[in-house]
Amino acid sequence: MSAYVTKSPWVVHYDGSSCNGCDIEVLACLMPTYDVERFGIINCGNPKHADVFLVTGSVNEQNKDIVKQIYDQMPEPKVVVAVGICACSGGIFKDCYNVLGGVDQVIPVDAYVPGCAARPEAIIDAVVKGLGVLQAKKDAMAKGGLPAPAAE
Amino acid sequence: MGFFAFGKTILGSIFKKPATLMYPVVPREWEERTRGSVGIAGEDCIACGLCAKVCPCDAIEVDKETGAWTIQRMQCIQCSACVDKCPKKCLTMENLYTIPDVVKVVDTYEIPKKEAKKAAAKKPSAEGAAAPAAEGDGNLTCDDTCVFCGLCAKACPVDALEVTRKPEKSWKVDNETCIKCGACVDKCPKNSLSL
Repeated sequence: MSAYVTKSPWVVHYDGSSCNGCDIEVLACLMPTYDVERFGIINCGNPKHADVFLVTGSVNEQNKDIVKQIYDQMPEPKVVVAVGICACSGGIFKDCYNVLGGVDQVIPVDAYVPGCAARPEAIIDAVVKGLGVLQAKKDAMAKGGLPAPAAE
Repeated sequence: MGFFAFGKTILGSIFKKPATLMYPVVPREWEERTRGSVGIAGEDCIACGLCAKVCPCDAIEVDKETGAWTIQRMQCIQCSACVDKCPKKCLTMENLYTIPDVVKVVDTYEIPKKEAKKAAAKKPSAEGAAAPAAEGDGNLTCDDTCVFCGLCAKACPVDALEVTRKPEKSWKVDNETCIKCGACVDKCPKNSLSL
Protein backbone atom coordinates (compact mmCIF):
# COMPACT_ATOMS: atom_id res chain seq x y z
CA MET A 1 0.00 0.00 0.00
CA SER A 2 2.89 2.34 0.69
CA ALA A 3 3.34 2.67 -3.06
CA TYR A 4 0.09 4.63 -3.21
CA VAL A 5 -0.23 6.43 0.11
CA THR A 6 2.54 7.22 2.57
CA LYS A 7 0.58 8.50 5.55
CA SER A 8 -3.04 8.52 6.66
CA PRO A 9 -4.70 11.46 4.98
CA TRP A 10 -8.05 12.34 6.49
CA VAL A 11 -10.70 13.81 4.28
CA VAL A 12 -13.52 16.21 4.94
CA HIS A 13 -16.39 16.01 2.49
CA TYR A 14 -18.62 18.94 1.63
CA ASP A 15 -21.61 18.83 -0.70
CA GLY A 16 -21.88 22.20 -2.47
CA SER A 17 -24.94 22.22 -4.68
CA SER A 18 -24.47 18.69 -5.92
CA CYS A 19 -27.29 16.46 -7.16
CA ASN A 20 -25.95 13.84 -4.69
CA GLY A 21 -24.61 11.64 -7.51
CA CYS A 22 -20.99 12.45 -6.71
CA ASP A 23 -21.68 12.38 -2.96
CA ILE A 24 -22.87 8.83 -3.22
CA GLU A 25 -19.73 7.96 -5.19
CA VAL A 26 -17.57 9.56 -2.48
CA LEU A 27 -19.40 7.47 0.10
CA ALA A 28 -19.00 4.40 -2.13
CA CYS A 29 -15.23 4.93 -1.84
CA LEU A 30 -15.53 4.74 1.94
CA MET A 31 -17.79 1.66 1.89
CA PRO A 32 -16.47 -1.94 1.75
CA THR A 33 -16.48 -2.23 -2.07
CA TYR A 34 -13.71 0.36 -2.49
CA ASP A 35 -12.74 0.70 1.18
CA VAL A 36 -10.25 3.56 1.16
CA GLU A 37 -9.73 2.97 4.87
CA ARG A 38 -7.22 0.39 3.65
CA PHE A 39 -4.99 3.40 3.02
CA GLY A 40 -5.86 5.07 6.29
CA ILE A 41 -8.17 7.54 4.61
CA ILE A 42 -10.93 8.46 7.03
CA ASN A 43 -13.87 10.74 6.45
CA CYS A 44 -13.84 13.09 9.42
CA GLY A 45 -16.45 15.65 10.32
CA ASN A 46 -14.07 18.31 11.53
CA PRO A 47 -12.10 20.38 9.00
CA LYS A 48 -9.45 21.01 11.67
CA HIS A 49 -8.52 17.32 11.53
CA ALA A 50 -8.52 17.02 7.75
CA ASP A 51 -5.77 17.06 5.11
CA VAL A 52 -7.91 16.66 2.01
CA PHE A 53 -11.03 18.64 1.20
CA LEU A 54 -13.42 16.83 -1.14
CA VAL A 55 -15.97 19.18 -2.65
CA THR A 56 -18.85 17.98 -4.80
CA GLY A 57 -21.20 20.21 -6.71
CA SER A 58 -20.82 23.75 -7.94
CA VAL A 59 -20.41 26.84 -5.80
CA ASN A 60 -23.29 29.27 -5.51
CA GLU A 61 -24.01 32.43 -3.57
CA GLN A 62 -25.43 30.40 -0.67
CA ASN A 63 -22.46 28.14 -0.08
CA LYS A 64 -19.41 30.10 -1.18
CA ASP A 65 -18.78 31.46 2.33
CA ILE A 66 -19.14 27.97 3.80
CA VAL A 67 -16.65 26.52 1.31
CA LYS A 68 -14.23 29.33 2.13
CA GLN A 69 -14.70 28.85 5.86
CA ILE A 70 -14.09 25.10 5.74
CA TYR A 71 -10.97 25.72 3.63
CA ASP A 72 -9.67 28.35 6.08
CA GLN A 73 -10.29 26.08 9.06
CA MET A 74 -8.16 23.29 7.61
CA PRO A 75 -4.54 23.29 8.82
CA GLU A 76 -1.67 23.67 6.34
CA PRO A 77 -0.63 21.75 4.31
CA LYS A 78 -3.97 20.94 2.68
CA VAL A 79 -5.27 19.93 -0.71
CA VAL A 80 -8.62 20.50 -2.35
CA VAL A 81 -10.10 17.89 -4.68
CA ALA A 82 -13.01 18.96 -6.88
CA VAL A 83 -15.15 15.86 -7.41
CA GLY A 84 -17.37 15.77 -10.48
CA ILE A 85 -17.92 18.07 -13.42
CA CYS A 86 -20.04 20.53 -11.40
CA ALA A 87 -17.22 21.03 -8.89
CA CYS A 88 -14.66 21.31 -11.72
CA SER A 89 -16.40 23.87 -13.90
CA GLY A 90 -20.06 24.23 -12.95
CA GLY A 91 -20.99 21.61 -15.57
CA ILE A 92 -24.54 21.74 -16.82
CA PHE A 93 -25.42 24.37 -14.20
CA LYS A 94 -22.67 26.82 -15.11
CA ASP A 95 -25.05 29.27 -16.76
CA CYS A 96 -27.56 29.29 -13.89
CA TYR A 97 -28.04 32.76 -12.42
CA ASN A 98 -27.07 31.72 -8.89
CA VAL A 99 -24.10 29.48 -9.78
CA LEU A 100 -20.63 31.00 -9.64
CA GLY A 101 -19.00 28.05 -11.41
CA GLY A 102 -16.52 25.47 -10.21
CA VAL A 103 -14.95 25.35 -6.78
CA ASP A 104 -11.84 27.02 -8.22
CA GLN A 105 -13.81 30.28 -8.35
CA VAL A 106 -13.62 30.48 -4.56
CA ILE A 107 -10.65 28.42 -3.32
CA PRO A 108 -7.55 27.03 -5.07
CA VAL A 109 -8.14 23.48 -6.35
CA ASP A 110 -5.32 20.93 -6.50
CA ALA A 111 -6.98 18.03 -8.32
CA TYR A 112 -9.95 17.77 -10.66
CA VAL A 113 -12.05 14.61 -11.00
CA PRO A 114 -14.05 14.41 -14.23
CA GLY A 115 -17.22 12.39 -14.54
CA CYS A 116 -20.94 12.82 -14.14
CA ALA A 117 -21.12 11.26 -11.67
CA ALA A 118 -17.42 10.84 -10.86
CA ARG A 119 -16.48 7.18 -10.60
CA PRO A 120 -15.10 5.87 -7.30
CA GLU A 121 -11.96 4.76 -9.16
CA ALA A 122 -11.51 8.31 -10.45
CA ILE A 123 -11.97 9.74 -6.96
CA ILE A 124 -9.33 7.36 -5.57
CA ASP A 125 -6.96 8.30 -8.45
CA ALA A 126 -7.50 12.00 -7.74
CA VAL A 127 -6.93 11.67 -4.00
CA VAL A 128 -3.69 9.80 -4.72
CA LYS A 129 -2.70 12.63 -7.12
CA GLY A 130 -3.69 15.17 -4.49
CA LEU A 131 -1.44 13.46 -1.96
CA GLY A 132 1.49 14.07 -4.27
CA VAL A 133 0.63 17.76 -4.12
CA LEU A 134 0.22 17.50 -0.34
CA GLN A 135 3.71 16.02 -0.02
CA ALA A 136 5.16 18.78 -2.21
CA LYS A 137 3.49 21.42 -0.03
CA LYS A 138 4.75 19.72 3.10
CA ASP A 139 8.32 19.66 1.76
CA ALA A 140 8.03 23.34 0.86
CA MET A 141 6.85 24.12 4.40
CA ALA A 142 9.68 22.08 5.92
CA LYS A 143 12.13 24.21 3.97
CA GLY A 144 10.61 27.25 5.62
CA GLY A 145 8.64 28.41 2.65
CA LEU A 146 5.28 29.88 3.48
CA PRO A 147 2.23 28.19 1.99
CA ALA A 148 0.94 29.79 -1.17
CA PRO A 149 -1.69 32.41 -0.34
CA ALA A 150 -5.26 31.43 -1.10
CA ALA A 151 -6.94 33.01 -4.09
CA GLU A 152 -9.05 36.04 -3.11
CA MET B 1 -32.56 -19.80 17.86
CA GLY B 2 -30.07 -22.61 17.71
CA PHE B 3 -26.40 -22.66 18.44
CA PHE B 4 -25.50 -22.43 14.75
CA ALA B 5 -27.79 -19.52 13.89
CA PHE B 6 -24.79 -17.63 12.51
CA GLY B 7 -23.02 -20.74 11.31
CA LYS B 8 -23.97 -20.19 7.71
CA THR B 9 -22.76 -16.58 7.74
CA ILE B 10 -19.50 -17.50 9.47
CA LEU B 11 -18.75 -20.32 7.05
CA GLY B 12 -19.61 -18.09 4.12
CA SER B 13 -17.30 -15.36 5.40
CA ILE B 14 -14.44 -17.82 5.72
CA PHE B 15 -14.68 -19.18 2.19
CA LYS B 16 -16.02 -16.20 0.20
CA LYS B 17 -13.75 -13.74 -1.59
CA PRO B 18 -13.50 -10.31 0.06
CA ALA B 19 -16.11 -7.78 -1.02
CA THR B 20 -13.45 -5.11 -1.60
CA LEU B 21 -12.36 -4.63 -5.22
CA MET B 22 -8.74 -3.78 -4.24
CA TYR B 23 -8.89 -1.01 -6.84
CA PRO B 24 -5.47 0.50 -7.52
CA VAL B 25 -3.74 -2.91 -7.30
CA VAL B 26 -6.36 -4.71 -9.37
CA PRO B 27 -7.35 -2.51 -12.34
CA ARG B 28 -11.04 -2.07 -13.02
CA GLU B 29 -12.45 -3.52 -16.22
CA TRP B 30 -15.19 -1.42 -17.75
CA GLU B 31 -18.31 -2.59 -19.55
CA GLU B 32 -18.53 -1.96 -23.27
CA ARG B 33 -21.36 0.55 -22.83
CA THR B 34 -19.82 2.47 -19.93
CA ARG B 35 -19.91 6.19 -20.62
CA GLY B 36 -16.35 7.30 -20.01
CA SER B 37 -15.20 9.97 -22.43
CA VAL B 38 -15.90 11.22 -25.94
CA GLY B 39 -13.49 10.17 -28.66
CA ILE B 40 -13.18 11.38 -32.24
CA ALA B 41 -12.07 9.78 -35.49
CA GLY B 42 -10.69 12.97 -37.06
CA GLU B 43 -10.48 11.76 -40.65
CA ASP B 44 -14.27 11.41 -40.97
CA CYS B 45 -15.08 14.76 -39.35
CA ILE B 46 -16.50 17.47 -41.64
CA ALA B 47 -16.24 20.22 -38.99
CA CYS B 48 -19.97 20.92 -39.18
CA GLY B 49 -20.01 22.05 -35.55
CA LEU B 50 -23.28 20.28 -34.71
CA CYS B 51 -21.62 18.60 -31.72
CA ALA B 52 -20.61 21.99 -30.30
CA LYS B 53 -24.12 23.33 -30.92
CA VAL B 54 -25.87 20.43 -29.20
CA CYS B 55 -23.52 20.24 -26.18
CA PRO B 56 -25.43 21.34 -23.06
CA CYS B 57 -22.20 22.31 -21.25
CA ASP B 58 -20.38 24.09 -24.11
CA ALA B 59 -17.52 21.65 -23.62
CA ILE B 60 -16.84 21.22 -27.35
CA GLU B 61 -15.42 23.87 -29.63
CA VAL B 62 -14.99 23.44 -33.37
CA ASP B 63 -12.74 25.87 -35.20
CA LYS B 64 -13.66 25.63 -38.85
CA GLU B 65 -10.80 27.92 -39.94
CA THR B 66 -7.92 26.00 -38.42
CA GLY B 67 -9.64 22.61 -38.31
CA ALA B 68 -9.26 22.09 -34.58
CA TRP B 69 -11.76 20.07 -32.54
CA THR B 70 -11.37 20.92 -28.86
CA ILE B 71 -13.02 19.29 -25.87
CA GLN B 72 -12.77 20.47 -22.29
CA ARG B 73 -12.65 17.19 -20.42
CA MET B 74 -13.48 18.77 -17.07
CA GLN B 75 -16.67 20.22 -18.51
CA CYS B 76 -18.06 17.25 -20.46
CA ILE B 77 -20.82 15.37 -18.62
CA GLN B 78 -20.74 12.32 -20.95
CA CYS B 79 -24.40 12.84 -21.92
CA SER B 80 -23.62 11.46 -25.38
CA ALA B 81 -25.70 14.16 -27.12
CA CYS B 82 -22.81 14.93 -29.52
CA VAL B 83 -22.29 11.25 -30.31
CA ASP B 84 -25.98 10.86 -31.16
CA LYS B 85 -26.02 14.06 -33.23
CA CYS B 86 -22.82 13.54 -35.25
CA PRO B 87 -23.93 13.12 -38.89
CA LYS B 88 -20.73 11.32 -39.89
CA LYS B 89 -20.67 9.07 -36.81
CA CYS B 90 -17.06 10.04 -36.16
CA LEU B 91 -17.69 10.70 -32.46
CA THR B 92 -17.70 7.73 -30.13
CA MET B 93 -18.37 7.20 -26.44
CA GLU B 94 -15.35 5.39 -25.06
CA ASN B 95 -15.58 3.42 -21.85
CA LEU B 96 -12.38 4.79 -20.31
CA TYR B 97 -12.79 7.88 -18.18
CA THR B 98 -10.45 10.88 -18.35
CA ILE B 99 -7.68 10.46 -15.80
CA PRO B 100 -8.05 13.00 -12.96
CA ASP B 101 -5.40 15.68 -13.10
CA VAL B 102 -4.11 18.72 -11.26
CA VAL B 103 -5.10 20.93 -14.19
CA LYS B 104 -8.26 21.09 -16.29
CA VAL B 105 -7.57 18.74 -19.20
CA VAL B 106 -8.26 20.16 -22.65
CA ASP B 107 -7.81 17.86 -25.64
CA THR B 108 -7.44 19.20 -29.17
CA TYR B 109 -7.66 17.05 -32.28
CA GLU B 110 -6.68 18.07 -35.79
CA ILE B 111 -9.33 17.72 -38.46
CA PRO B 112 -7.82 17.19 -41.95
CA LYS B 113 -8.56 20.17 -44.21
CA LYS B 114 -11.44 19.89 -46.68
CA GLU B 115 -9.25 20.53 -49.76
CA ALA B 116 -6.73 17.90 -48.74
CA LYS B 117 -9.55 15.45 -48.17
CA LYS B 118 -11.09 16.25 -51.57
CA ALA B 119 -7.77 15.76 -53.33
CA ALA B 120 -7.31 12.45 -51.58
CA ALA B 121 -10.81 11.39 -52.57
CA LYS B 122 -10.37 12.46 -56.20
CA LYS B 123 -7.10 10.65 -56.82
CA PRO B 124 -8.51 7.13 -56.80
CA SER B 125 -11.83 8.14 -58.41
CA ALA B 126 -10.21 9.94 -61.38
CA GLU B 127 -9.86 6.64 -63.19
CA GLY B 128 -13.58 5.81 -63.14
CA ALA B 129 -15.87 8.06 -65.21
CA ALA B 130 -18.86 7.29 -62.99
CA ALA B 131 -17.25 8.81 -59.91
CA PRO B 132 -17.89 12.53 -60.65
CA ALA B 133 -21.54 11.75 -61.39
CA ALA B 134 -21.83 9.99 -58.04
CA GLU B 135 -20.34 13.03 -56.37
CA GLY B 136 -22.96 15.21 -58.07
CA ASP B 137 -25.71 13.01 -56.69
CA GLY B 138 -24.44 13.76 -53.20
CA ASN B 139 -25.81 17.31 -53.47
CA LEU B 140 -28.80 18.34 -51.43
CA THR B 141 -32.10 18.30 -53.27
CA CYS B 142 -35.62 19.32 -52.33
CA ASP B 143 -38.75 17.86 -53.96
CA ASP B 144 -42.18 19.46 -54.55
CA THR B 145 -43.58 18.43 -51.16
CA CYS B 146 -41.69 21.37 -49.64
CA VAL B 147 -43.83 23.78 -47.61
CA PHE B 148 -41.07 26.44 -47.33
CA CYS B 149 -41.17 26.39 -43.54
CA GLY B 150 -37.51 27.38 -43.32
CA LEU B 151 -36.60 24.87 -40.60
CA CYS B 152 -33.84 23.47 -42.82
CA ALA B 153 -32.22 26.91 -43.11
CA LYS B 154 -32.38 27.33 -39.32
CA ALA B 155 -30.81 23.91 -38.73
CA CYS B 156 -27.97 24.46 -41.21
CA PRO B 157 -24.68 24.94 -39.33
CA VAL B 158 -23.00 26.75 -42.25
CA ASP B 159 -25.95 28.85 -43.51
CA ALA B 160 -25.89 27.25 -46.94
CA LEU B 161 -29.67 27.27 -47.28
CA GLU B 162 -31.96 30.15 -48.11
CA VAL B 163 -35.71 29.83 -47.83
CA THR B 164 -38.06 32.71 -48.63
CA ARG B 165 -41.86 32.84 -48.57
CA LYS B 166 -42.34 36.44 -49.74
CA PRO B 167 -42.66 37.81 -52.36
CA GLU B 168 -42.10 34.43 -53.95
CA LYS B 169 -41.70 30.99 -52.41
CA SER B 170 -38.17 29.79 -53.05
CA TRP B 171 -35.68 27.26 -51.71
CA LYS B 172 -32.02 27.66 -52.55
CA VAL B 173 -28.91 25.76 -51.60
CA ASP B 174 -25.36 26.94 -52.02
CA ASN B 175 -23.55 23.73 -52.95
CA GLU B 176 -20.17 25.38 -52.43
CA THR B 177 -20.87 26.12 -48.77
CA CYS B 178 -22.94 22.98 -48.07
CA ILE B 179 -20.93 20.42 -46.08
CA LYS B 180 -23.53 17.65 -46.57
CA CYS B 181 -23.96 17.04 -42.87
CA GLY B 182 -27.63 16.09 -43.20
CA ALA B 183 -28.86 18.27 -40.35
CA CYS B 184 -31.55 19.78 -42.62
CA VAL B 185 -32.65 16.33 -43.82
CA ASP B 186 -33.25 15.26 -40.21
CA LYS B 187 -35.11 18.49 -39.45
CA CYS B 188 -37.45 18.60 -42.47
CA PRO B 189 -41.03 17.98 -41.30
CA LYS B 190 -42.17 16.89 -44.77
CA ASN B 191 -39.20 14.65 -45.57
CA SER B 192 -38.72 16.62 -48.79
CA LEU B 193 -34.95 16.82 -48.55
CA SER B 194 -32.51 14.18 -49.69
CA LEU B 195 -28.76 13.94 -49.94
